[in-house]
Amino acid sequence: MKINRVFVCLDLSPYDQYCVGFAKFLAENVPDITHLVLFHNIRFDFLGELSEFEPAQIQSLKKTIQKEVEQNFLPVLNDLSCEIEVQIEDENSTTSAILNARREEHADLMIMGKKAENHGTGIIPRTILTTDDRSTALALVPKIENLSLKSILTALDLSDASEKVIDCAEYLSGFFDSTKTCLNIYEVPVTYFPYINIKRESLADRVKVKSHQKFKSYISSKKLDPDSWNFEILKGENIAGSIVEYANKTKPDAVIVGRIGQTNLPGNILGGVARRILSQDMNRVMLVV
Amino acid sequence: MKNKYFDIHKPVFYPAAIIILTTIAVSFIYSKDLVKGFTAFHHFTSEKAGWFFILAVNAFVAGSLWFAFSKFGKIRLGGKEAKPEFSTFSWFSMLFSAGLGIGLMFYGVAEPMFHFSNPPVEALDPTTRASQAMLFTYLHYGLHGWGPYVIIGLALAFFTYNRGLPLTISSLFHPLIGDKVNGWMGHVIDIVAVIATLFGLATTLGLGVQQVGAGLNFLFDIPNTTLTHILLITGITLVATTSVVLGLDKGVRFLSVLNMRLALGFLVLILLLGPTSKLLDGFVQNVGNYFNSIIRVSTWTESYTDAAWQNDWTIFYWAWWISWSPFVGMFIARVSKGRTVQEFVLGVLLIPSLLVFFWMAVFGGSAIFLEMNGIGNIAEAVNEDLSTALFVMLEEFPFSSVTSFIGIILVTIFFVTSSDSGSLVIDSITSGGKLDAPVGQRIFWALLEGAVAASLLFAGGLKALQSAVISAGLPFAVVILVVIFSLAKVMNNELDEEKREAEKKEREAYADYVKRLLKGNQNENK
Repeated sequence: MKINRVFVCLDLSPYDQYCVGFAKFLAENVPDITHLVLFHNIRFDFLGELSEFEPAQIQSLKKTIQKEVEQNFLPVLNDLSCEIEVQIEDENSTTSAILNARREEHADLMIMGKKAENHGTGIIPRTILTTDDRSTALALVPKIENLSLKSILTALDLSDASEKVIDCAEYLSGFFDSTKTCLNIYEVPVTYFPYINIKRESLADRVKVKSHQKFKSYISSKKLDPDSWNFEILKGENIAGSIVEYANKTKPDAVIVGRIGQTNLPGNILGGVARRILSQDMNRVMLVV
Repeated sequence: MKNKYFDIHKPVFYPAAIIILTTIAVSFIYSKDLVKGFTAFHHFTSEKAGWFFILAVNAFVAGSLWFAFSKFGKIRLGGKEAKPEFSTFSWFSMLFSAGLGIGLMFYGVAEPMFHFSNPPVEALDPTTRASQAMLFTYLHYGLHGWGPYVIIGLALAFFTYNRGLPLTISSLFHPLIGDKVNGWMGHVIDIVAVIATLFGLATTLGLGVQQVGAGLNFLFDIPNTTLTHILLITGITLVATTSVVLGLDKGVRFLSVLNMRLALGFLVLILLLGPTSKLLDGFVQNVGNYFNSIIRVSTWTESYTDAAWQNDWTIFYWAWWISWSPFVGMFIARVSKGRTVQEFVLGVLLIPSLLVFFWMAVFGGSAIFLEMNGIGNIAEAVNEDLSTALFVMLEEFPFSSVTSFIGIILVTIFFVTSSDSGSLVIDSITSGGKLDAPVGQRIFWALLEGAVAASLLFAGGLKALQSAVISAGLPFAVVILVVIFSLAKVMNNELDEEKREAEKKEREAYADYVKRLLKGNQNENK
């Protein structure tokens, strides 16, 4: 993994300053970053009932927003050595505007706001997660003041996506000297009938032993340095919920999850666990790779 | 009224208790007239509204599957953070024991055998008659039977745990009549629910004692008289009362799990003692045949014939299942907190149906096998007295006295589990929807339930009540159809509310921001 071009999606909400702040933080510490785009697509669907707005004003509105974004954020990014660009679009669909612009810009990382449940719908990041055919890495930034990447939590399900997660963690820790935790959650299946002569407790023990074995052999196959990685395996009934619970307890600076995990078919297509984590309250930077 | 032993919701408790006691008194005097009146009404509804029952039960199944597999499936009963109160096996045992119980023991052998010897659609070939008998038995005990339980149980659980309404039948009407459910309209609904539940239980308990009586007569030559039945009711009521006093967790759950394990053991025993591979062949073929024919047979209305077979069987069953749905639905709702809608529907609709299919394949299949091979004379016994069917069949197998004894024990425990869960439901309604009523109240209703069953058996009003309870099926079918719509509406609101609120905030904030920018622009231009 390598991050050269960063694409920041702005929605003119208070979350923008946190997204730009995170982009700046990355650009200051990751010398590979050469290009930064601040992007906004005008939300016509939100302006329909606004009497002050007339469609004829669109060009002037675009210019005003461009000026506003430049005024608000360019001074903050002034010290950076990378190239900075502001783009304002007026497409009907914000999702496709973001994805098209991202494609043209060859972005390696997109940054968006991670809105807590009561602060917004979070529908754009969710749709981006499920419709991005290029699977560009996506960083979701909540309202946090002290930016750091000193501790990184990676959630692994031992599938192909987990390799990307490990790569991303290794790449970032190279710049931030982070401590990394490798977390695997396993589930115990539901048993309905007693005449399958397995008690739930003994079944749970067997699943636990098997999960530990699989996890251990996966870790050793990846040859991860045990001095910079911690390993955790936990039982949980709901994978996304357990990851969030663990993250809220241990408070890492960032949580990295795979876009496509080892879940069922719709989950594979739609990014099940990542999507579910997105809708829960977790005040950590989240990276979906 | 609230004290250590009673926590009464007066407007429901007193009228319900008075009406029940009066009905018992009246049944002693006018028993024959009651039988005549209710039977005539029951026949009238079966004859004229058969098509409606058939359409309604199909709608219940379709509605249940819709709830499970639509966006509603992920809603958790009790909120996002709720955890199930009982293990999956305990939960499943309780709803199965409350929902089916005695019917399984009573009709497991009798029904397939009866359809085999009196085919619903004329057939001469024994093989066709056997598959037809199993097909109709599966229809009566399969998805369509459990459909009403799913709808009522789901609606009650949702209104109680997600909307904070009391666990009473009147809560179902909240989306329709709003806060009037707390007034006299709601009280009337709850009184009717208490009476229907109590009399519904009494009628089923009547079937139970008849079968235990027949079994005891068969095994030990104990005379199968009304006195024996009343003694049985007394004994069983005392056990049920103990179970209710111990509460849901210790008493009812313990008995249900014990019952389930015994029933499964009994099932495996008969499978091994009987023609095992034939029974398993039959199970696979019958399940396939059921799913293959489900639309055809579940929409069959006996049109273009003069026969009235369907009124006596299919329509009777649909009315019976529906009339039991307030009671079973409430009980299922009581024990299902923490389940998702999808888990709930699959747990209540599919799993019990499959288990019943296996039960019927083993018991009914064994009886048909014996009959087709000229062993025993089960068909004749069934035609004479349905309650002896199980024991006549067991007689043809090895260790018949042991298996018959297990059969009696099982009927008895099924009897108790239906009775104790019924008492818990009535406790809940008459205490204003509280989940755990005080001990005194639990004892009162458990004992009254036994008293009603015994006195009606003595006075001969049981048959009238059977007809009355089944007559209640027709209006309640309409209620369940309405509940499907109101539940979907309320669930939709629940899902949309949060989303709408968040979207509104986002939209307003964005519009305000743009408004400010446009205003700034105008000022600059000036």
